Formats: sequence, structure tokens, C-alpha cells
Amino acid sequence: MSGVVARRARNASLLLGLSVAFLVWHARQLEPMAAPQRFTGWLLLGLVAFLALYNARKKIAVVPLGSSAAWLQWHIYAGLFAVLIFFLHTGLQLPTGYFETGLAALFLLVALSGIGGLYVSRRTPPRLARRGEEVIYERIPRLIHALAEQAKALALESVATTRSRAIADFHAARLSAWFSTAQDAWQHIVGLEGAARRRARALAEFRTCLGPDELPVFDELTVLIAQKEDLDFHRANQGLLKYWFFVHVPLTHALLLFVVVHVILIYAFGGAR
Amino acid sequence: MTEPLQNFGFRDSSYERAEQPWECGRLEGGACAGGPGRNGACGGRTACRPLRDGAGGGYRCARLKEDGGACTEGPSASGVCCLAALGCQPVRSVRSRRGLVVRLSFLCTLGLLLALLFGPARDEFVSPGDLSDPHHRLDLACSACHGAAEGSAASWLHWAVDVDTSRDLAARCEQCHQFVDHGAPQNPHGLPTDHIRALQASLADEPGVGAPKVLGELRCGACHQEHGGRERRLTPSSDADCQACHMRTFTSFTQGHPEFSPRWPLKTRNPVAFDHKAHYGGLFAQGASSAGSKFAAWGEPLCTLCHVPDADGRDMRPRFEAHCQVCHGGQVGYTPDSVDGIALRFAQFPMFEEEARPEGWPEALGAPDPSEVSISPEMEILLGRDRETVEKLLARMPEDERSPEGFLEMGEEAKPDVSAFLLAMKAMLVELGQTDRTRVLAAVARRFKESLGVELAAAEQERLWPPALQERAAQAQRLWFDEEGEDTHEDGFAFGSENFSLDLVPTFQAEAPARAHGNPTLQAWAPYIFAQLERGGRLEGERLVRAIPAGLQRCLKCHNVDRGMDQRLHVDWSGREKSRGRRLDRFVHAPHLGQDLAALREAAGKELGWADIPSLKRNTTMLNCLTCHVPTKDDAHDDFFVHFFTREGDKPPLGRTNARDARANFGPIARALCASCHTQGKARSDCLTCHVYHPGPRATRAPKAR
Amino acid sequence: MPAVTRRPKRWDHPFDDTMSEAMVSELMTLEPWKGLAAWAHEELKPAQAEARVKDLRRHLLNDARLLTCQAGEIVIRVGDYGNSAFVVLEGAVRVVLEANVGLGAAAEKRFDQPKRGFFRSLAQLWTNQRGVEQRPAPRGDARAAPSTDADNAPVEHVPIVLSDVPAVLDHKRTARIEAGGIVGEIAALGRSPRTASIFAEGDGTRLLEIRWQGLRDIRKKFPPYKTYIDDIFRERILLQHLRATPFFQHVGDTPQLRRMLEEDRIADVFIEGLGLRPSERDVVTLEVAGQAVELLPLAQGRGWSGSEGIVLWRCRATIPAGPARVELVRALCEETGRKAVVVHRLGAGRVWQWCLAEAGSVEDADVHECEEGGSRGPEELMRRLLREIALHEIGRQTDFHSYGEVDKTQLGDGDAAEPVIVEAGHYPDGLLLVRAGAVRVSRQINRLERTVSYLGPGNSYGLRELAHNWRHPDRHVVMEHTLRARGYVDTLLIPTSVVTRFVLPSIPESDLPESYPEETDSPLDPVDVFEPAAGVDRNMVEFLVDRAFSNGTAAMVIDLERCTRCDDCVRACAQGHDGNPRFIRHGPVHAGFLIANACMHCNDPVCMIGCPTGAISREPTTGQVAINDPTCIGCATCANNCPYDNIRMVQPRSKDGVFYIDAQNMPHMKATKCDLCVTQAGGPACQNACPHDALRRVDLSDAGTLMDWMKR
Repeated sequence: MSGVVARRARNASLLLGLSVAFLVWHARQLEPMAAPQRFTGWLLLGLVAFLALYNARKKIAVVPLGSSAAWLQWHIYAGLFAVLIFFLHTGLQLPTGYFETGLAALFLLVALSGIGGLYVSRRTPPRLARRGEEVIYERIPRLIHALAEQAKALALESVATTRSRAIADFHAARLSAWFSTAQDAWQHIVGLEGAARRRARALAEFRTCLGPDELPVFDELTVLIAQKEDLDFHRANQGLLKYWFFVHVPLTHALLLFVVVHVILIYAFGGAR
Repeated sequence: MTEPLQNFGFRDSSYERAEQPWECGRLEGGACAGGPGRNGACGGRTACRPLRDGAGGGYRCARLKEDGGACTEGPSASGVCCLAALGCQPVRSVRSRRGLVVRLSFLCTLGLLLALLFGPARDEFVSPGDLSDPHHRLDLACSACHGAAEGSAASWLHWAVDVDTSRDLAARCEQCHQFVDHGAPQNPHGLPTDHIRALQASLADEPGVGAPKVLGELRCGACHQEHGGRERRLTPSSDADCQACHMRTFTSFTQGHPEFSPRWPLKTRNPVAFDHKAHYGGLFAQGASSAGSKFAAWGEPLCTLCHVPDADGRDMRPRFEAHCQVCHGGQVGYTPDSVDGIALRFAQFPMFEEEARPEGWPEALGAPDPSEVSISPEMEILLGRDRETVEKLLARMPEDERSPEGFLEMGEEAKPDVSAFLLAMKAMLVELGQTDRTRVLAAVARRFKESLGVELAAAEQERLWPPALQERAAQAQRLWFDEEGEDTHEDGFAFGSENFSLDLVPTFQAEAPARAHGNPTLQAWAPYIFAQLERGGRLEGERLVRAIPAGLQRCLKCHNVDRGMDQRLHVDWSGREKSRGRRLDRFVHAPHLGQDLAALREAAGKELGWADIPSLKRNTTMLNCLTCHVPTKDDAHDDFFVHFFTREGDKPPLGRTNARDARANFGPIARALCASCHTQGKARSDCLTCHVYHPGPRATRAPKAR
Repeated sequence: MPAVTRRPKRWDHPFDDTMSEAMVSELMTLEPWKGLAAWAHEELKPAQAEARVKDLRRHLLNDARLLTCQAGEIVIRVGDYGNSAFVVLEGAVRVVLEANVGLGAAAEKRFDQPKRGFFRSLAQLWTNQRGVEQRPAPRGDARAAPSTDADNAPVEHVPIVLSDVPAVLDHKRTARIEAGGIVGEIAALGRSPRTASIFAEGDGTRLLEIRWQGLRDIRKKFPPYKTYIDDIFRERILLQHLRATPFFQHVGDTPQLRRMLEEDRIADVFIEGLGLRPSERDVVTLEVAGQAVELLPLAQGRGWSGSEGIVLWRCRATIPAGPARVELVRALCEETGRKAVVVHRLGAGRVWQWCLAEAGSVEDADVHECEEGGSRGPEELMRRLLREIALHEIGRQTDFHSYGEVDKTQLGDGDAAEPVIVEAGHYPDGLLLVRAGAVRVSRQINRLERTVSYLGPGNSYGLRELAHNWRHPDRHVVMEHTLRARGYVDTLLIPTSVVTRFVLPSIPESDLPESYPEETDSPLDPVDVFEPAAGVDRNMVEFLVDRAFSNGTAAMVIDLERCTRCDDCVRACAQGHDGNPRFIRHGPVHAGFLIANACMHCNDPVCMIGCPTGAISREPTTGQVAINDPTCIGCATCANNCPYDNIRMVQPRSKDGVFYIDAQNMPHMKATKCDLCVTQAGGPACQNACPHDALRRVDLSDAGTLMDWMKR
């Protein structure tokens, strides 16, 4: 993946260079201007508009407007640049009015959620790729249901084949609820394995109580449990990849509204100097 | 061996339609082929439409292989699929849910914004921060400064797009803050645009500040930023604001700032001609050394004898009352018994031979002294339209011999003209001396308009014709033209009866009611007198110079006359720095005078004289006047003072605008001198240390009383 | 309630709505249709014959159209993918035998379906159907109700014309195909690119264009036509394949032949050296340029299937260069048959002149000349002549074999499903050349069958064993590896005797594969033709070949370590296809790379083989495989044929979501698959829509491309 590292290094250094150049230019040229904030303001507005356009670009995928990957690269680096411009625009001061505090908070939340989303979308896919079978998110409930049915069938069958209710009871007491839906989402997202370890310990303990004819059935059940755990992992982490947008996108829409009001306010109240 | 969860065969899996808002909610088996519709209703109620077999009339399952093939149970006898219960409750896709959240949050934000922008707490909501303390204490409403705040939020778009809000904002600043002597406050430095354009052209090639950039208006908000919190100072403190327009920038005062003009600090000549050399080097020094001299009490003849900072600590110029009056008080009629020299003559009669005198010639006038007779310019002004009667008389004299004696040469043939003149004088005195003050002032205004074509403001009328003069006119009218004149003559006229007995041209002299120096009436008349004299070029030549009223001549001995921007002659009566109101630089002396000058003398180790001053400056590291103000040895000054005081030679004392003639014995000041202290780390060196944006006195920029 | 409509049928959408019965009747009077009808009546029972001829007429009515071309109009362009063949009805066409260079700007023009412009791309955002698989109600017979739907109309025939035909004729070797001849059948039937450019010779050249599925069925129903087509195939394709094979570079240049030439034994060169037979023809005397020229028959080749083959003549007279020689060859061909080679010797100067007339094209016969001081030496010309004849002879004796089934149910189920092509331990009976498909090479190591490499198109097997046996007649070896067909494989087998005679002696000793050492205990490494290049992950290659993915030219590969499972690719795909995705984001995974269930646009798209209507076809220039939805009748043949399950059957429905069903309550079906967004201006929407560069359409036939991308 050295190509990616090289690209990141190149883009990041380009951004850094651009930022430094802009800061120097801004310090030398813009500060004496009658309205440095007007310049940074409109620049920021342009950047925010460009950043928001990515959503529109995604919606019109077939129109030849450049690849989405290229757009994302621009989106990421323009977003980081926008944060810099934001701080230049506010002069690194906390806004004091209610409206402007709201506006700044929205901007920062959108920026933070974007950076968080970037982190999530870089960290999560390799974890998903390493774990279990690759499944489509929407299919997971169905697959879990199928596993639950299999587990249930296995437990019921065990009564007849082993003439013991041990596995069936264990299933009813410890497993059937767990099998019914996806579980332990946060543990899977964060990468904790407490629940899995506890379950493994319980299974190991239970295994020692089983007779020789029960063991094969139990081992089959163990396989199903492992598959279910993988599915839980995929459900949680794929969900994370989808749900972080629930913060980023709605906040962006709210931000755009605030920005429009902000521009009107500034011009109506003579704040543009 | 773990069985894979999914099968990729084309019969086992169908398209996952990520673009659809609803997903099949079926958990059993795969999603059905029908799939939910866009409205979220289940589209797959039945697995198949059972097929009616021709033979027995019964039905058989027609489920597709793609859907799992024929089911084992088969359809009912009536042809209903047994899997009819397959219908599910479709679920919204994550993305569709996200869309809902987006729409919801958008609407909520919109609603919140609308509620706040149109609600009662609007102003508080949109305010970007507290006002600075002075404004904050006034508890101003938003609409005090922002027009947009007067209307509802719906009008803001109009304000944002159609209105020059910064002009509106500035206009609202001016409702409280007045800018005396500032021209148009929204122009850069209050200067007219033409002026700036001219400056631009003239400064284009000059190093340093260079041509200013902004030509249009520069509003208050460009430098004064509100809503920065209560502690925020409104006055700008950075050079950046200056450099917004003065684009040719430099690093600092020490580096790159242009050299001062060689004419600085004496760009224009002093309002008062003062010879330092004569006073300091001569009189003071002599006086100080000789016991019993009136200077003896002053002690050491130091600069600070006369130069004391004013209240601002800025201006060091001496004041007449404090410094000059000791010697020169009598010369300007400071005492009530020496008013003769500063009188105005608004009513004079030339002397005519008997045969030329018409009937009704005032007997009180007695016999004339032709050498004292003239027609004063102030009388000409006051005659107004009737001035032509004077001109008719003058026309009787030969062109080149117009003199007071000329009147005496007129015979009987001149009688009608003299009669007209007499009537005009009478009318003037009647009008200007009547008791109704309003009518008097109206008459003054009319007569000024008729003679000079100027419209007088009410205050100006008041200054030009104070009640004292009105009284005088009444007295004169009574004396000359009234039957009972003789009686009133006794009532303490300022002019004595000897005037008549001496048979001089009777002159009504308006003396200063309180004190002669700084007589406001005289000061008010001066420019009109100059104007009247300038009509017809009467200021040319030595002879007509004497036409200036004697009192005014006394003033002009010290007060320089200059031609102003309106091309008219003015006297700067203030005695202060000329054009103070337009100066964009400032120097505050007080902070620079921390050193005791007595210490200088000690350091010099001897008595100080004018001749020692240059060496003094070199020998001390202490700051003193002479550090900056270096006396010159230029002989041109001496010439100037000779001309002025002796009035010898051809040079007229008026209209001298060549500043070099009045450098007051001191050389220019170099920037390096200032820069030796005003550099980073030692003393302030930003633009606003020495330059001001708003010219004019500080007090005039204070808010109006509300 | 489902909408009951007529099920789409094969000929609902004829190739050309304007074809009429009258035109078909006219065609039936022309060859080869006339001959085929005659054959049917001769060979079959009357009823059968009647049915066959009726079928033939229906094919002509529905699968053919008439074209009238102007001079220089390009009919076929080399490298394009063709879905139809052309029968010359009137006039003649020219086949450009040399590479396509220099045909001018016209040859660069595209026959492609026009791409959507920017605004049409944009427009589909709101013209797209909102629901699932919505289609307009199927229309009936197009001939009854002519189509007005511009999108579904057949591709308009837009003539692209060469600007300077004489110049091309002057500077290019061309062959002339006259009325009755057929061109373009190989690419049409073989799902492969066109092998040569063809343009119309004169104005008013009339051609009959036949869709490939029509041609396929006619060929199936009329055995003489099959023989005819197969012979043409042998003649046109086999030689080309042999010419392109590296170790045939020197055939015809054996020491034995060189010696004979030095000894001036011309007849022996051809008869002994190249295995021709003495000619049975008589001496021919021709009148050329006012001169009687006597030509002696030297030797005679063997034709493909009973035809006479090449004939070599020796010319006794001196013919000046230029038109006279052309005239001589033309006259000779007219006089004697179709093929002639003239060999002419000019005294002691050892200058040879030969003229080779290609089949049926006399006028501008491929006349090669060599004069003293010419650019090409006589030896070189002679070598070329000998090589051509040798290749011809090799080709004549080469066997064609096809292995494997198209049916994918046989794939990946172990050895049983992989027909053996060469069995280890058998005597090497020939040199194997792979024409298409993938061949697994395995051998027994410690009683286990181990795959050691894979062979692809252009690879060969057996040269090493044959060379060893040729050099060591006393110590013969047997085939060391077993070769199995992975899926559908086409091979050529050149018999050992032919290889020994023509090929091995011609290869320089240094280029011959090493012999096997004496001790056969330690088996040698196989000739590893499929050895991955440096840096290529062998496991990945094995994964690809094992699942026969290496057939794909545009497989969808997803890097799971980058993919955020956002489904932007799926939505983009749906947007480009009227609201319906055309792939599923699932599939086999190897090393974090997922090969999605999306059409790979195979080198050899076996899905096309059975399509009854020709709804599935390749784009002319780029070769993408696409299904024409209106023509598809939902038979699922393609979906069954696709070894990768990348074609899915869907049930179309109306705008109101009502399924279309037929009278038997069976829903209509449509085959759907990825078309690589052929009509979209921006190319594959899935790839463009991926925000993380995690999805790429990769040519898996070249493992390097994938590796490069994997390591990006």
C-alpha cells in the first residue's frame, strides 16, 4: 500500500504548503485589506459550497463529472483547508452572539464529524476484511435469522440423537435470545472482546459437562456461534460506516441554512464593512 | 468445515437494490422477487400465480425456479397459493432513513431559525456580541445603529442587497458624533474626493505612503469595529487600517518611512510673525542681565518662558495675554484709553466747499482737514447700493489725481451729487441705527449683499454689527441730521467735541467693547474689508495700503494675512498653528518635555545665549527644545523681519504666502531624530502615534449631547 | 393483477424491418442460398426439405439485411468485434491482408453505439424509472408495428469511407472476394475480434449482412454450408495462428532445403523438402505481352478438403517487371484454377522471381518481385515462399479439438469436470497449441495431482518432449504432465511427424528446449508458461485461474480493505440502467479482494453461444458484452451458460408494478447483466462512483494489471 502512503504524503504536504502559503499571503496581503473577513468569509462560503456539492455529485453518479474518488480527495483536503480558513475568519476567537455561536458550533461539529468519519472509513474496512465472511449489510438480519433457525434445529435434534436435554436447555437458556438479533454492537465497534470471552468461557465450561455423543452436536453449535459473532461484528461495523453520516449530513444541511442567514445578516447589518 | 453463509448462484441471489428506499423485511429465505414498492407496501404477497391445468380444471404451482421452484404443498383447490402469507413488513433502508433525518433536521433548523428571527428575542439572538463599554452604557437598541433592525427579518434581504448598509450605519454614527472642521466625515480624512484625487496624482511618484487607494467613501465601520465585547476599544490600534488605503507600505517608522518634508514642522508660515532672534537673543537676554528691567523677574531666558504646553499638552505656542501683553499690550489698544488706533470708520464725510454743499448739510461737521479725508472701505460696504453716489463724486476728479483734496475742488456744479451722497448717508444711518434690531440686521445683510454679493449668516450679521454699533449709528444720525442733535452729543460719546472743534473729518469709531486685542468685531470685518479693497485692485501699491483702517493695520503688524483656499485673504486670529483643523499629523509636546531645562544649563556649565544654543544641543543627551528645534543662521529671516516691521522697500506686508519667508529662525526636523526614540521596544512607532485620521480638534468628535 | 401479454419471441425484432418476402425470394435465386435449397431437395425427404428451406427463408427475412456500399466503404475493420457476417451479392470487396496501418483517418472512425452526452447523462436522472425492473409493455411483431423507440432501434448503418481507394490498392496487399463469397463469419461465430479490414471495391457493391445467430442456425441446418464455412475458417484463421506462433518463424528454412537450393534442385525443394507432390498438369503456354510464355508445372500442394491446392510453375521466359507479370499470373490462374506460384530463374545470377496468387484474387495478385538491386534479396523471397508453403502444409495436417463444456455446472467440481487433453505418460503425439480457454497443467507428485501451471491462448505444450525425442531417437520420453481443460478450451494439435519434418529442423539449436537428462528419477520442472511475472502473487493467480476468472477483461474487483460498503457503486449502476442495478456486491474473496457478481466481459463470452435471438452481443470496437433488452426473450440460456453467474433473470413489470405474465401464468423474464456502461459518457459508473478507489474493472487475463492495482 505504499502508493496510498505516498499519495497521502503528497496530498498532505500539498495542503500544508498551500496553507502556509495562504497564511503568509494572508498575513502580508489580506490583513491590510479593508475587509479581510469578507475575503475569508466568501472563500469559506465557496469551500463549504464545494464540500456540500460532493453530496450532490454522489447523487448524480452517472454524469461524467470526475471520479468520486477524486472528489473525495478534494473533499477531504478542501475540508481541512476550510477549517483553517474558518479559524482565520473567526480570528481564533470564540463568537459571542447566540447565532454566531450556533453557526460556529455547527461548522465545528460538521468538521469534526467529517474527520471522525474519515477515521472510521479508514480503520473499519480492514477490520471487516479480516473477519468472517464478507456479507452485504442488508442481508445480515436474514443470515442471523437463518443461523438462529439452524441453532434451534440443532438443539432440538440433540434431544433425540443424544437422549439428553443438556444442549437444548443450554440453548434455550443462554443462546436463543442471543441468536435472535445482532448483539454487542459497541463492543464490536470499539474492539473489546469481553462479551466474546465470557461467552467462550461459558461454552468451554459447558463443554466439560457433555458426554461423548453430545460433543459433535455441541461443536456444530460452536461453529454457528462463531458465525453469528462474525455477523454481529459486520453488522456493528458496517453499521458504523453507514451511521456516521447521520451526524455529518444533517448537520451540513443545518449549517448551510445558518450560513445563508449569516450572509444576509452580515450584509443587512453592515457587518461586511 | 464451515458452510458459507451466502450462495452467489444466479438463482440463489437476486439484485440488492440499494437505490430503493425500502427493503424486503422477510427473514425466512431470500427477499422475494416482487420486493417492496416505493411507498413501502409489500409487493410480494404471493409466491406465484397457480396455473390452471387444462385437463382436470385443478391448479398447479407455477413458482419459478428463480423463486425456489414449485412448492411441495401446492395451491389450494380454488387456485390460491399456499405461501400467500409470505408478505412482510418492508423496512426502510438505512439511506432512506438518513434522508428522513436530513429532511427532518433541515426543517427543524429552518423552523428554529424562523422562530428566533421573527420572535421577540430576535435582536438578542442575532447580536454578534456586546457593544464596547461607552456604547454599552447607553443601552442602545439595535436600531440605533442598524436600519435593518427597524423592520422584520423579512426585510433583511432587501437591506442586504439593495441598501448601502455601511453608509446607513455611518449616517447613524453621525447622528450622535459630530465632526466639526472635518468636511465630509465619510470621506477619507474628511477630504473632498477631488482633493484626494489630486493627492493621488501628486503622490503617485512620491516614495513612502504613496497614492492612497480608496477614492470613495470610507465609512466609520472600516476602522471602528463594534460588538467586540465591553472591553474592546473602538479606536483602531494597528497600522493595518491605515495600510488598507496607503498601499505603499513600509516595515516601520524607522525603516522605510519617508523623510519629513524640509518644510516640516513649519510647512506654512506662522500665523504670527515672531522674530526669535530679536526677542531671545536680544531683548530677553539683555533684560535678564540688567537689573531693573522688566525681564529681570523672569529669570533665565529659557524657551519655557513663553512656550508652555496647552491643556492638550500638544501646542506650545505663547499666548498674547500671558506673554506678549507685557510689552505689546498698549500697541494693540489693550487699555480703554488708547482706542484710537483700532477704530472702524463706517461713516465719514469728505469736505466740500460751501458752494458745493447742498441744503441740509450737517452743520455739526464743521470745517474739514482735507488730508484726513477718505472714503473708508467699511463705509463703502455699508453704503450698499448707494455706493454709486460716492463713485459719481470720485468720477469728478481726474483719474490720476483722486485724493481727499479732490473733494474740495468741486464747485456748485457738484451740488446734486453731493446731495445724493448726503441722502444716502442719512438713509444708511437711519436704517442701521433704528431701534428694531431685526430690521437693522436685515439692513446690514442687504447692504453686504448689494456691495459684496455675499449672503451673511445670522451669526455673522451679529458679529459684524453688534448692538454697540447700532447705538453709534443712532447717535450719529441724531447728531448730524436731527434737530435735537446738540443735546444728545453730550451723552458720553466716545469721540470728543474736540473732533469738531479741530474741524477734523468727523469719524465714528467703533471701539472694542471689552478689550482691544482679540476684538471680535474687528476680526469679523477684516475679510470683508480685504474683499472690498481687492475689488478694483485697490490693494496694489503702497498708497492704497493705507486704505486699510488704521486699527486693522495695527493687527497686521503681527498677524499674517494669507490667501486661503477660497482665494480670499484671511487673517488667522487664533495665533495658533495654521489650518489646525486639516492637519493629519500631530505632535504632542508634553510627553517630550520630561527633562528639566535648568539641568541643561548646569550641563552646559555657563549662562546660555542664543549663540550657545547649537552647542547646547550637542552637549547634552537630555531632551530639550533645542534637540529638535535647531536655530538657523539663515539671513533671510532677518530680511523678512526688517521688511515687515519697517515697511521699507516695495514689499507689501500682505499676501505673502511664501513660507520660506517665515521660518521663524529654526531649521527643519529630520525623521532620524524622531526615529532614534520611536523605534520598536522604545516608544510607540505606529502610524497613529503621529498621524490622525480625523482632523480637527479632539473635542469636536465627542458625541453630541442627547 | 399481473398483466397478461404475449411472451416475446425470437423474431419480434427482425434485423431489418424492411426486409420483405419478395426480397427473400430474390435472394433465394442467388448462391449460396440457391445451392443450399438444391441440396436440401436432393438429400432430404420432401417434407423435411420443405421445412429446411422455409427455415432458411425465415432466417433471411429476420436475421439478414441488404446493404449497398459505395466504393471504399469500410465493411469490417480489423480489431472490431462483429456480430454479423457479410455475403457479397454483387460487386466485390477487398480484404486488407497487411496490418491496418495507413488506411487513413476513415479507419479510425468508430462504429460504436453513440455515447450519451453530458445532458443526456443528466437527463436520465429524472427519466429513470423509479421502481424495480419497469418496462413498457412488450410489443408484438415489429413488422406489424414498426418501432418508434429510438433507443431500441438497430444500430444505424453509417458508412465510413476510405478517401483514397487506389492508393490503398497500390500500397497494400489485398485480396478480392467476389460475389458469392462470405466475409466476417469468423469473428461473428467465434465471438472474437475481426482479423482483417474489408472495404467495398466499387460503388453499388451489394452485401447481405447476416446476424451471427442466423448464420449459426443456417450452418447447423445445412451441412454443406458448415463444411464451406469451416474450410474458409481453416484457410483464413489457422495460417494466421501458425504465423503468429514464435517457433514457426523459421519453418521452410531447414538445412536440408538450403542444401537443395544450393544444388539448384528446385523441384526437390518442393517435393522432397516440403512434401508436395509432382504436378499432374500439362505444360501451359500463355500469350503475355505479345510473347508466348511456356510454363512448366513443378509441384502441387494439397488443398484443405479435396480441393487442388497450390500449384508451382516454372517460367522459362524473361518477363519484364510490372503489369506484364501481373497479367501472366492472372492468365495462369484463369487458365488453371485458383492458385498458382510462378518460379522463374534468371540464369547464373540466381535471381528468383515468384508470384503468388491468393485465392480468387487475380487482378492484383499478391505479386512479389525481385529484380537485381531490389530491396528484398532473392533468398529472402524464396524463404518466404518456402515458409508460406510449409505453413500451408502444416496447417493442412493440423487437427482441431475442442474440450470442455460451456455448462458452468461442471466447473470447479474436480477432475471429472475437466476433460483431459494430454495424459501424462502417453507418447507425445503432437504439439499442442491453445487457441482459447485455460488449460491446467498438473503432474503427479508423491501420488498427489499437483497443479504446476496454466496455459492460456497462444501458449503451447509438448515442444520439449518432441524435441528430445527428435534428438534422442534411442531415448524417447513420454508426456510428463497432464493437461486438462478448465471450462471451454479450443486447441490445435500438430502431429509429431509434421513437427519433426517442418518445425524442429528449422529451429536453431540454441532455441530448442533442453533435452531431458539421462536420470529420469528427478523430474524436471515443467516448462512453466504461466509462471507469473516477478511480483505477481502466485496464490492470487491460482485463485483467478482456478475459478476461470482469467477469462474476464473487465472483472469487478473490490478491495475490501478500502471498501466502506457504502453501495455507491450499486446506486450508480442503477442510475445508469434505468433505476436497476446490474451487479451484486458479493462474490468470492481472496486476500481481501472480492470478485463481484458483475459481468467480466470475457475474452470468450460463452454466454453468447446459445442466445437464440442475438440479444446478447459484443460492442463493435470495445468488445463489451451487452444484452439488448427488447430483443431478449428471457430464455435464460445465457444465464445458464455464464460460468460465473453474472447474468441474472429478472421479472419485468409495468410502471404500476404489475408483472407481465403470459397465458400460462408464467412471468416474462429478461436476462440482465452489467454492460460496462457502454452508452454512458463517463465509462463504468461503479468505478467512477467509488469514493475510496476500492473498486476497479480489471482485465484479469493479465495478472499484472491486477497486481499493479493491488499494490497501488
